[in-house]
Amino acid sequence: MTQPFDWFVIPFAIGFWSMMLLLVVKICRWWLGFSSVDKKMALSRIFSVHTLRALVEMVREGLLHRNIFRVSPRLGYMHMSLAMGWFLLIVVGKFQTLAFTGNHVNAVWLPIFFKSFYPGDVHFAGSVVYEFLMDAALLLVLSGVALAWYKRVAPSALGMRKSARHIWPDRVALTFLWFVFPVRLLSEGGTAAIHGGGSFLTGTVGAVLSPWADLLAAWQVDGALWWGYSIVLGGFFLMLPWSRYMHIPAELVLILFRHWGVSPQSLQPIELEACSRCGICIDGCAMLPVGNDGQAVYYVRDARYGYVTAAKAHDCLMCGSCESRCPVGLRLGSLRLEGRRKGASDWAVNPVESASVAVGANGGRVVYFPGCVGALTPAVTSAMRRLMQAAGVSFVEMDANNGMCCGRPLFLSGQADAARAQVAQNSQLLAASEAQVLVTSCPVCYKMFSQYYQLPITVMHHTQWLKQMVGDGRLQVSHSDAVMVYHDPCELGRGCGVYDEPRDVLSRMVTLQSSSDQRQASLCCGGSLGGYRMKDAGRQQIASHAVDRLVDARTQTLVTACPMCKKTLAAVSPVKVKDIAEVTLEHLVLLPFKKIPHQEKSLLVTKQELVGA
Amino acid sequence: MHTKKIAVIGAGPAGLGAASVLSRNGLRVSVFHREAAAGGHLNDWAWLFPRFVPARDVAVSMAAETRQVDFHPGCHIAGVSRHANGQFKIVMPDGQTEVADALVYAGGFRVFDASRKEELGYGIYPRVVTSADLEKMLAGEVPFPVELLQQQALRIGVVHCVGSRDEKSGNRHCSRMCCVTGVKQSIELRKRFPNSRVTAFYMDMRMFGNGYEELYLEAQRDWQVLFVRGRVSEVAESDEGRLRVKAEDTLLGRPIRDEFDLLVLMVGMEADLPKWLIEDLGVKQIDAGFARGNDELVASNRTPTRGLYLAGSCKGPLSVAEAWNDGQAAAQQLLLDLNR
Ligand SMILES: Cc1cc2nc3c(=O)[nH]c(=O)nc-3n(C[C@H](O)[C@H](O)[C@H](O)COP(=O)(O)OP(=O)(O)OC[C@H]3O[C@@H](n4cnc5c(N)ncnc54)[C@H](O)[C@@H]3O)c2cc1C
Ligand code: SF4
Ligand code: SF4
Ligand code: SF4
Repeated sequence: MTQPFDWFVIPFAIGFWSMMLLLVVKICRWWLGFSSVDKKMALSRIFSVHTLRALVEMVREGLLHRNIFRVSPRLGYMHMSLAMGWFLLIVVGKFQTLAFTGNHVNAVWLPIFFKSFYPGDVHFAGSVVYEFLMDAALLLVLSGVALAWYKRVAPSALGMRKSARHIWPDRVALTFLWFVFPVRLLSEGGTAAIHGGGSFLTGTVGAVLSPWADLLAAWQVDGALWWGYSIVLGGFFLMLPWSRYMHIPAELVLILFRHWGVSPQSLQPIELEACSRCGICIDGCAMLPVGNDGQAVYYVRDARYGYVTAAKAHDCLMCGSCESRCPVGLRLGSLRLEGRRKGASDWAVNPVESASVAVGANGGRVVYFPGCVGALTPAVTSAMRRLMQAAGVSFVEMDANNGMCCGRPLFLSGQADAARAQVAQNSQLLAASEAQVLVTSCPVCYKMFSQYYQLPITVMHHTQWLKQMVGDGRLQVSHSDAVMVYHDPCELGRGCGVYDEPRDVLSRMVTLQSSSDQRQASLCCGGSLGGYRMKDAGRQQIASHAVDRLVDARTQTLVTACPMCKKTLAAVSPVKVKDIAEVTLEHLVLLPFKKIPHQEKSLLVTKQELVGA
Repeated sequence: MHTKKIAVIGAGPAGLGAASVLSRNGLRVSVFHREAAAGGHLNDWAWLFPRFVPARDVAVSMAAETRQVDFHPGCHIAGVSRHANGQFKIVMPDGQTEVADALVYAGGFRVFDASRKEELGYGIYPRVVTSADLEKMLAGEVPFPVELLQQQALRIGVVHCVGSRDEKSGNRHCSRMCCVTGVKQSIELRKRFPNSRVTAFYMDMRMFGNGYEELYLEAQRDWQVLFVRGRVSEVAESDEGRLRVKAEDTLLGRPIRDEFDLLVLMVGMEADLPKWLIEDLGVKQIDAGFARGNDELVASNRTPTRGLYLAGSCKGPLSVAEAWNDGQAAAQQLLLDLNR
């Protein structure tokens, strides 16, 4: 059977083939950018269960958009209906032409313009079913388009506070996209009006238009509509690789390569293009109170088009909220750091050259490190010292004369090499000590010591240590009628997944309020080391916003577990701000002659004796 | 005798200044005051700069300047409203109300809570005290941190600008009084502990008043007080309870580490305006939170609300003499408006 042709398929064909060409080029470039290890790994996994898993995830995220459903069911439906509907149009169209022509290979435009070439009631095996399915899929897409229109007008209706601002390629592509399916409906409806046929949707539109059928035919309105359809569809395809819609193929490729074990570093260029600019990351962004322009979505966009400046890379508190929200699972923190690494000299942090880690030469196996910010919160560190004494733990304080740096500030400012040098230096010092447990009060240090150092010792944040001590009965606490709310520090919560330990300890002592901005959804206090460019006034605005959301009329104390959070929040809070260690000390039941249970396997050194009060 | 009745809120230097002028002009004056004794913050200080006059005596002579007034001590005013006829309704703690034709607000300031700057260790280390605490110690009302007296060569640090000129604590303004208070207290400490050495960390020395500059010179020349331009960044405690101070010498641009036996924080003056003054009586605030008069030059005591006047350090940091004069000025303004 010869393939039908009409001049109106040209705009579509141009758009389609230019898109395909660009996609192939892009994929090749991504592949060439992979390290040889990554390439080998990917090739070795092609015929493996990993590919199957990737396919499952592609369906789940690329079509069904499960992660977006989790953020907001209505937003999820919008994305799902567009993707799923369109996908069905392609698949059903494919089978429709296969059934009709009997050929497996047909001109690309045939399924798309099928009704224009074969209008009216054309009968072949399953034709009614195909027409019905095509209409159903079209209806699904149209419902998504309607929601997309609505979202532009009222983002909150779809469960979002802010919608991303778009740039011109996005706007052009978006406009084409908005018109593709309504125009298709009209084209098919117009054709049905003149020639009959069509299922429940297109047929109905045809029936409605049928009184003017003669007029439509005389003026060849159906032909004009098919031209229009071809232009908007071709236009959309033409713009796709240049706009946010590149995320559709990029996300699928990203999923595949992730499953094929390609390293995160190699995947970065794909990640930049896999961002759909859905804007979900905006709502949780710590910087929202000071402006809607430095958020992850804008950063990723600018990085993709190559006009990211060092300043832009540094305009972020690295709170990790966007990363925990992103439905595509983009590693937004690493992407930002990559930008900082490139422009590192602009906002450099000085490495600390001579750390004096006076670690227990005389046998202290527990080392306490308040962190450099700990020096600014003596209430927290002195509470910790007293708690350690009360628990009968003999400890030495690391870097009592201070000057030590865990390396995270260097790392966060993009100075990866200097950070590594710092880590190596500190590791040596720690290894030379007899330390077995390192307890730190600073979540920033905790993240660094536990995730970036290979230390042969146990690293604990003081919330974890407190939980262990209170759980073991080595510290006994009372319950008061105080009402408190807990602020999850970014680096401890999202950064290290420590959410339960502080809550466990606190709920033994006080009435702990819950909040909608807790755990994963915690708001950054604004004091973060991750963004040196942020001015004090901006930080205070951010802190005030966080406090407003956490504290209500019942709250007596705002508790946190990070010296930086404490300082930042205390500057603006209407209620007292305390560290969990201070609260524990206040609730400590001092037992004058408490016998410490002998623990053979405990890592903690105890004075095996009576502890005086 | 005027039939008009005037209410004065606060009997510190400013409130007393206003009450003295009003009462001597034959108006019926009611003075509402939170504490039992008139004098405001004067009752918290031992000797005043620059001439070491006992603050008590100043309070007494200020109170003696007033004539017949209806004094309500221990009476914290928690609400004032203004009627359509222009009268003020003042609600007293016992629920009783009093009506006045005009109101002078002279509620003063609040001393900065030094525990808000945790890095300085106030409230954590017993040997870190504030200038306000030190006044009580000098007056003998409160003991010095115990072990101090037994020490021979005491090292004393004085920290300026605590809670002032500091964006981090939300106060950009200069509290004006604390530089000279630092100088005054350094001299007093040297007199009290002749073996001591005093080092003061300052940002700028603001010696604006008569006799202040001379006092600053005296402190250096006669009392060997060492003034270091630098900002203290953190304080820690050594095992012996001494205070380890980290600072930066901002003239030489190098870090300083030093140890002290006593650290005195020159706490600033903060706005302490009641809600009703802003929300119900429409008083505007300057950025630092203090009350704003109609303008800074010729009508600083007047407000957009007719019959409402501002006096003293509720408008910004003032010295005792300035507050007293400002109270009298507010009263004069009120009289002029009444007779208009
Ligand atoms: C550490 C320190 C040392 C100082 N030393 C000196 C010095 O040596 N020499 C000097 O000239 N100045 C000194 N000052 C400044 C001096 O304290 C002020 O100039 C003076 O107190 C201002 O007087 P005032 O009347 O405006 O306010 P205040 O003295 O604050 O008086 C206001 C009064 O109003 C009362 N009040 C407030 N609201 C209400 C209400 N709603 N109802 C009832 N009563 C109310 C308050 O209780 C208070 O007693 C010092 C300041 C500080 C911080
Ligand atoms: S980074 Fe993630 S959450 Fe943000 S716009 Fe892109 S895809 Fe959406
Ligand atoms: S890391 Fe935090 S501050 Fe930075 S863009 Fe993401 S949400 Fe915003
Ligand atoms: S008067 Fe001196 S100590 Fe006080 S805030 Fe001003 S500069 Fe600082």
